[in-house]
Amino acid sequence: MYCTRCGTRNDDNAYKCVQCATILHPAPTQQPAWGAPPIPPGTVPNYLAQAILVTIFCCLPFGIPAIVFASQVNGKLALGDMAGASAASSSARTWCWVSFGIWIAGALLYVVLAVALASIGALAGPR
Amino acid sequence: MNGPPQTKRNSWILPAAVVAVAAAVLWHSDPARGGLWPKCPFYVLTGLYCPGCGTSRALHHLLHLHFVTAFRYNPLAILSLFFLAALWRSKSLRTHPRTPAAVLIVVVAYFVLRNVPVKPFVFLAPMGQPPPAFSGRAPRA
Repeated sequence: MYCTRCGTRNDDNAYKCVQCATILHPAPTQQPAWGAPPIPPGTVPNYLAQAILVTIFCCLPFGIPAIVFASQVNGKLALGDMAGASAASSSARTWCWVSFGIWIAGALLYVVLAVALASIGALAGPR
Repeated sequence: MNGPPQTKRNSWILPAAVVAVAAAVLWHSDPARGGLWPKCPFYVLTGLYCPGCGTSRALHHLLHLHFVTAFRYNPLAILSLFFLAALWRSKSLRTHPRTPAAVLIVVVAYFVLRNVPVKPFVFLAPMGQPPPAFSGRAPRA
């Protein structure tokens, strides 16, 4: 890690800067234990808008896991956890597609069944 | 993950066409009258309202500019349209660490509360009808 005051390179576990003796470890709330800097929000998409769309407009509760994973993305980015954020992002995207896919499949199945029943009804003659 | 620039540039055409067709169909026929509209499978199986229950009926009335009726079918769906617009316009809202968690709390609370068959919460249910799971009637659209 680099000294915040003079920029000298130090050992990652060093307590004080070898050059200027500035204490290198900031308050624990500023940075996580492994010392990763926060990643700017928005680096990894959280698919929140898509998650809301499939939850409210697809009429199936499968959008809720998408929102759960979307909520993990921004938090993990703030902790500097790029791998975790990417994994949560792709999970959020997967759940969006699952929800949307089930809705589309259900709609197609419904249309096919409706057409089939209507044609059976027509074949059976007038009611 | 990202397509080449050519497909990226025209990527709005298909969704826009789907939305336009869906809006035309929704404008033409009221899901509350049945017809070709399917019932939500979650609703049929459980007799409970999910957060999306009443959305298509709400959008039908929204397209006819019946704002109060649309709101009564699914208040959160109408509010979420404003929220999605805000999300689209505001980068700070989109990237705020707490935004998705706040959405999650609101959606889950809405999911639970709109199934409570008691007076103030029942207004969150479609047209203020308590869910069939608690009122003994069969799930109807």
